[in-house]
Amino acid sequence: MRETRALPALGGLLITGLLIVAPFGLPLFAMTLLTELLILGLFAMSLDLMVGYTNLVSFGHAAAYGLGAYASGYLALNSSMPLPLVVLLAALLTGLIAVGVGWVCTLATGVSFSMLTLAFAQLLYAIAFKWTSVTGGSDGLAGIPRRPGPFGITALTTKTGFYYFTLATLFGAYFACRALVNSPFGAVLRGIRENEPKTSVLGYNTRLYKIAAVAIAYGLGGLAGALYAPFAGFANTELLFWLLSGQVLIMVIVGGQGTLIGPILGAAFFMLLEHQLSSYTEAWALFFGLIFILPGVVGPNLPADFATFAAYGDFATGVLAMLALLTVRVRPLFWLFVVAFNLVGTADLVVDYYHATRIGLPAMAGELGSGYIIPIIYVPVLMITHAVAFYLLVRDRPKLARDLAGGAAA
Amino acid sequence: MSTLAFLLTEGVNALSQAALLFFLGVGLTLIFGIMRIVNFAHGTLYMLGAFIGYSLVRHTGSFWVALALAPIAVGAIGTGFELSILRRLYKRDAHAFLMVTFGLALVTGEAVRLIWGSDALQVPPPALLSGVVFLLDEPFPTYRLFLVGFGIVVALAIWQLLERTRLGLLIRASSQNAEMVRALGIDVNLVRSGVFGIGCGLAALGGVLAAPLVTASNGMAATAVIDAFVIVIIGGMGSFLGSLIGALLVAFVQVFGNYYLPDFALAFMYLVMLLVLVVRPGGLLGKEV
Repeated sequence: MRETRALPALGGLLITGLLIVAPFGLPLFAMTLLTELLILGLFAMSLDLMVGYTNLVSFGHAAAYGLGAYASGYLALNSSMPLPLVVLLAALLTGLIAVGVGWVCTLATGVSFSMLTLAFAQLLYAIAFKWTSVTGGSDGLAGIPRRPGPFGITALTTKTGFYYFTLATLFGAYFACRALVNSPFGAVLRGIRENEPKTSVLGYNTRLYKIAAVAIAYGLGGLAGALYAPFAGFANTELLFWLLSGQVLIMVIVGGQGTLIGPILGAAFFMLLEHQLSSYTEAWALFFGLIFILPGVVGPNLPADFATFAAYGDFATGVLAMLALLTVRVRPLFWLFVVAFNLVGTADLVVDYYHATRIGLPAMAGELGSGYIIPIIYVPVLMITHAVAFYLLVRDRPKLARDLAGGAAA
Repeated sequence: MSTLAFLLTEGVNALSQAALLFFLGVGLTLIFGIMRIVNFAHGTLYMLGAFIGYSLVRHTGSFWVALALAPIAVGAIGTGFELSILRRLYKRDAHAFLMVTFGLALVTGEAVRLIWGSDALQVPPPALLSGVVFLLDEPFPTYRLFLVGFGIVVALAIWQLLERTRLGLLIRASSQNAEMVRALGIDVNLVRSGVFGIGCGLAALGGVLAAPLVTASNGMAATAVIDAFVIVIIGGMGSFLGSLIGALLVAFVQVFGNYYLPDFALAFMYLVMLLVLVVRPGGLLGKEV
């Protein structure tokens, strides 16, 4: 037991340390990417409060992000308030508006709730498009500054300073959320998730709790948006568009709902994958999409670099196996493919295990859920079959050699 | 232009818009009704219909061939997707569908971009319909009038299919109680594949018909899917009549809103949706879900 607790804590400490020293070792563009990743992580984590802990599946979480971004952009452009104050005010404003949103949306439950949140987000999108004097219309707000202060401190306005500001905000929000979900309040939210009528009968006004959950989640989502505007220097209607709502929901699902840390990893997975794929191929969206179809079918949600490598290895193994089956009648080719299949398959498994250990996959056993059966049962079985295949191949060597020679002669 | 003529032309205009929206919405609502899944890929299938229609028009020279074949092609793709992937997910929660159809939307959208490129493509309306007719002495595009008529025909056909045929009976029964239908010895999975294919085909039908009006472009998917959502949400998820009413409502709000209050037309559409949901959370004709 102690070990399973210690490992994630150790991993967390390690990642924290790496994030803190990151600006000293990473080039500028990587820092930009990392900052955006932290902001998106915060955004995804905020949605987890609703989806994962209260079973309120929002299809319109972009509303929070966009509201926060526009509010902080507007404040930064039209006042001389220092950056932290702007961000804080924008987040508070989003949370305040969300009380109204939550009040209306919680009139419904289930799919209807999701649809109401979508309706709100789209309404805001439409308003942002047309209320040109405040939102800049289809151009959005551009040239959003990072104003120094308070007390004239300029440390937060540099790229590195802003990165640390974002990192600190994410950590603060994470620990606040963790305290929240472990509090009696969080227990009621989980009660709503598991069985709302029962929670209601126990004497809790579940609607009020749900409104509070919506307000807090939107407030934190607004905080993420409020950070994004001064980070990117602009805020536009894309930030309110339903596509972003869909994406953030998928980040939460991919990362593991109801875990807080999972959605942050989900956001990282989503963003890095998009980034990596788009640098390899023009048609990155094709592979990006395929990757979302596959886990839906396969199950477990794995870290990016492990999953990609494992996928390529498995793919090569699969292709070789199929080629072997196709050439079953052409003996020389068949044996060649069988040997290659076994070699590649074994190498794939060994390297996967190496990778998994290196990136601390065992510590994420919880993330894998029932999919954990794959590495502990399925893969060893595969390993044994490869070993048996090798044994048979070696035992049959005279025949194999004869076949290969025969193939060459023919 | 007299007020009456204006109201007539704009009214027919809205009806033609409603026909396109109806094809889009009814497919989504059929799929939701029987499978309880929100199909994120609906807009991209609509777009795929428009692009396949474009190619068919180019190669065969006939709009009518495109109109007949593109929906069948997209319907087949949809059925194939259901058979190969969606079928495995019925025992999993709704999140799996969300992710998988989102992935399908990305893949299809990107495939369309790779095959047809990023430029908007013109699809000419058939020669027979490219002229104008006069409504109260005002010229009006024949094609739009054709859309109204075609929309009515398709709506009647779907209605008859649902009410009068054995397949319609199975669809309605499966959407109410799939377990019971299965217990009666019917292969519900087959019904589901069929309905998913029909729904995708209807979306493609809308896409082919929209192409002469708005060109086939990569951007049409995102607006189409949200329009379809709005229609289905207003009408009630899973309700055939609801999708018809939703399409009419949205079309009239769009067309007349654009004329009278161009700045608020878009917001007004979502406001209508919000109001409907607050009064009837399941949509106008839907059951609360």
